[in-house]
Amino acid sequence: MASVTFENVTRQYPDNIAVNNLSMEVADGEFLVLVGPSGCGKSTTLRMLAGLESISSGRILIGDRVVNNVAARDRDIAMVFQSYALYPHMSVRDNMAFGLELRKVPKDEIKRRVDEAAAILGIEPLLGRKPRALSGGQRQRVALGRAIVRDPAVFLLDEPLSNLDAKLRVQTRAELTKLHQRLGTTFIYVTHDQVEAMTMATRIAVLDKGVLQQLGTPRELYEHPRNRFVAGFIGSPSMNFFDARVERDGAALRLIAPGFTLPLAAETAPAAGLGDRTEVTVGIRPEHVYDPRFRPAETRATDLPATVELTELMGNEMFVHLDVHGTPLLARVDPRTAARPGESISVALDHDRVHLFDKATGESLAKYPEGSAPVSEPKARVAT
Amino acid sequence: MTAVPVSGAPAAPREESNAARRLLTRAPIHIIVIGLVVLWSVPTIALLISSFRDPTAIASSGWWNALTDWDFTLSNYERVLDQRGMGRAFMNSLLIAVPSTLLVLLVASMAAYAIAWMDFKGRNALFLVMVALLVVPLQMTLIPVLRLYNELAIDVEMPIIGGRLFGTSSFAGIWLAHAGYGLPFAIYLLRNFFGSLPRDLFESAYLDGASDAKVFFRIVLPLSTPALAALAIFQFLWVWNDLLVALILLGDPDLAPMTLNITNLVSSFGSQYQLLTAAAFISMAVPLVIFFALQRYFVQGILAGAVKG
Amino acid sequence: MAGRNPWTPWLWMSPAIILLTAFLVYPVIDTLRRSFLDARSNSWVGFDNYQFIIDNPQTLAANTHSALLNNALWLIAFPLLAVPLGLILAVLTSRVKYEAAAKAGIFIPMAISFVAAGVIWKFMFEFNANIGTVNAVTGGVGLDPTAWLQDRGGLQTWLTDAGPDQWWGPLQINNFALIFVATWMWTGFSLVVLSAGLKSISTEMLEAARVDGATEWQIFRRIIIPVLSPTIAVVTTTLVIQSLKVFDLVWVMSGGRFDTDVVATLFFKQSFIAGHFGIGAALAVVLLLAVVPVMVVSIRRFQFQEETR
Ligand SMILES: Nc1ncnc2c1ncn2[C@@H]1O[C@H](COP(=O)(O)OP(=O)(O)OP(=O)(O)O)[C@@H](O)[C@H]1O
Ligand SMILES: [Mg+2]
Repeated sequence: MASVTFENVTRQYPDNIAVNNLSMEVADGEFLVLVGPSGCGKSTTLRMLAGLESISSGRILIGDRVVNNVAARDRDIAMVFQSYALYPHMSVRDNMAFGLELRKVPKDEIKRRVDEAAAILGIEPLLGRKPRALSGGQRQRVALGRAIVRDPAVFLLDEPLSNLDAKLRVQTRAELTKLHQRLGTTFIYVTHDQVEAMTMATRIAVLDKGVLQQLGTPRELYEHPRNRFVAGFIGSPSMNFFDARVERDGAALRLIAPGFTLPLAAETAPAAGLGDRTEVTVGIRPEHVYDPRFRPAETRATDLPATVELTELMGNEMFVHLDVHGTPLLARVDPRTAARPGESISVALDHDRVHLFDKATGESLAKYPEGSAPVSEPKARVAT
Repeated sequence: MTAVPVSGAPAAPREESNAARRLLTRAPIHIIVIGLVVLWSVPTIALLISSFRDPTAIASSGWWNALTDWDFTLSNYERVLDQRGMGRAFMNSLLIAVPSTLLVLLVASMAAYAIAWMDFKGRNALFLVMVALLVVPLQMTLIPVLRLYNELAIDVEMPIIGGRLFGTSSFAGIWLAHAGYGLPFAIYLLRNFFGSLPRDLFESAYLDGASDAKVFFRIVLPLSTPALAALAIFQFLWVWNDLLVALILLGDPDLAPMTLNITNLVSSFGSQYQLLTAAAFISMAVPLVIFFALQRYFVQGILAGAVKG
Repeated sequence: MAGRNPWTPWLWMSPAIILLTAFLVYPVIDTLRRSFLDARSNSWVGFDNYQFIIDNPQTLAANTHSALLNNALWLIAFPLLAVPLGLILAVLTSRVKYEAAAKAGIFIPMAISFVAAGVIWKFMFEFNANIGTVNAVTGGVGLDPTAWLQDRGGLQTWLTDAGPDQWWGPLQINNFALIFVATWMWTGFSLVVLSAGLKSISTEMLEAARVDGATEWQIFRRIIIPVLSPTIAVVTTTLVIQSLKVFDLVWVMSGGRFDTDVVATLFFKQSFIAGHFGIGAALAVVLLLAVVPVMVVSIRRFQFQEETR
């Protein structure tokens, strides 16, 4: 087990920068998830840590050891690839044993560890088969097994679930979390699926265009996104954005959007960094736009007239696409709502839950109390 | 397992030291690769240089002397081209190679289509028999074919291209022979390629009411351009480079291709290297141009034939 | 497509079947028949022609044992040189930036005719060290010039001075010189096919092995070779068949003189020069019989691949 540190790590290609000046610290035993849109540099980050990609500048440490010039095989890491990369000519057992064999682990020790890992993953009956004769989910387990037997300092996983069907993905997600708790090893997990990130991570690192946008617990990212990109990326369906003018009336603040006005409590966090700006981008999550009939108690909201354009019933909830005086707004409401396409209804905007961003830079204007800063200190989840 | 902290771990390396290390560890790779490529190219380069050297120089000093002491001349080429029938031989080579190549493409792709996409009893067995014929030594077939040709000869003058209509002094005879010899490989390669086309494509075309001929000409052939191109190159080169079939099955010296002419040069000029090298290089020119222009297809074709199968 | 006329596939295949029958199937059968007939294919002689091959009376300028042993040497030495060389080059070229150029350099001899290759290598092997590149190089390290295509010496002379009818008879310098030229011509094929196979190995798998702790050599031994083994088998089979059928190269370079005959050249001499069709045919049948096991093995492999694909 070991911590992992990135210090100003950059990976530059002749025509683009895949990872730009990345600094972060991953504590021993953490489950860190790297998320971001396709091409943002997640795999590159992981592969630099694995020693499969060279580092243009900066340094990477595993534990206290600088590994920039250490070969992949000497870094004591295990990696699960998106395509699983099983060796087609070897049985499942041999696939799992290969790494140990190369490290000259005694035969009986290898057998013990393979059997143990197979038991954890429930693949004992498959040990004699070739990868060709396995289903996608089984292959995925073998790939995991190959990593587990190695008992590495760090586990790296690059979109290991993306080839699985939806049901298997949900199931394996939970199993991976349990596995992490059981092994207590540092996991670094790459995905572009923010649901995976939210459910499994102890902390999430959001990348965009090679730049680290925010590093924090799932809750921090959801509640206090540091900029418009993170706000839009985390949460599903994603946050509504619209531009508004700030009107000051003594101590009271109002947000004037085309066609409607929202009161803004000056004492709340979102407005803390407002300064003397008059133009802002307002963000509000769909789950904070209510059907007035089912508005949770103890919330303060502004009722607005809106036209229903489209409804999508998900079963336990309903997505309602609204038009509020020309501003499109998505609401995630109780399925018992009476909203029907084409009708005019009234919706309630939870004006305490809005996020404000600088219109030009997209930076969040919020200021948060100590301890929930946008980039938080690393903390390990205690293994159980 | 805990990572053992290595004290005094190297500080972040600078770019240059990284590059230098890479170069050093990879030096053996470069040395072996470049060494072998040079070794492989020397004979051809020697031939090329020698073909431009003065006859007296060739006979007395090695081609490498020309690197320092350049004595460039075109006279060897002039003399070779002046040889009786060289121009005609070049034409003959083309007249033999192009039609046989087209013939193989057409016949093999029709058969491969039937084998890949029509269901009939014993089609795998038939395919295996066809491919098994790959191993028949070509020389073995020459006498029976020669006798066949003598019996079936049609002694009618062919207009324009020359020779007879059929038999041992005809182009038609050698086209058919080269087509027959090229078929096993061609069918093997094309059936593997056709077989890898998606089934839906055929099914939807049949549902749309397309006939076999429509599917073949409108879907299969256009989609198989890479394999067809590769095959065409292979076949063309084989025929162009062939000596044996022409030697036995072409009785008429007026129809002789380049390879035959050069062989005759070899036997009549013995070790007059200035002529041999120039003649050899003329015969290599077409294959080399084709090879460099269409290199990409070579690999694709081999891939389709050997790796997928 | 259900409901197709049962004759349709045969109609599509008929041109191929006719050509294959005329140029390959019928000649094989006819050769088989003639191997039991006398020199002019007139009367029945039973197994006399085969007896001639076995007894090797060395009349008719035919040393059948030497030809068979030489073929055996080709069969072993040629694939043993060309396959590993191709494999090493495939792996090494995949790691350099000038991969395409390097591969082209090795592949070029494939595009050259045997006739041209014969000219090139006679020139390279020229005895006069002032002209012949090979002797110039060996002379440079202090060796006497060698008549590479004529000299029977070499391994044999230090093993024994027994006659050429011993099993080590073929271990002659001139045979190795010829096999080397064949290797020069065919390594490109082996390289291109193997490197295509190598490309189809996912880089993720190699990276997985690297992370698993394998050194580059272990990756080569434990991952690349086993995964590539079907492709290696295809290449080896092709080269084995080539070495059994080898004719043109020997014919052009040495004409089979100085005990360099292989079965195919001996067959050719018997049939077309000595005019003994019976012995010629029997030699061709021997050649075909030698190729049959290779064919059976590759058909087995093909069937296995069909079942598992
Ligand atoms: N060899 C290369 N040469 C040039 N650019 C590269 C190379 N490899 C990757 N890149 C670029 O680096 C960027 C980051 O790639 P990376 O594979 O890390 O993305 P990713 O976040 O893993 O995306 P995905 O979710 O699609 O896997 C991309 O823009 C990619 O085009
Ligand atoms: Mg990726």
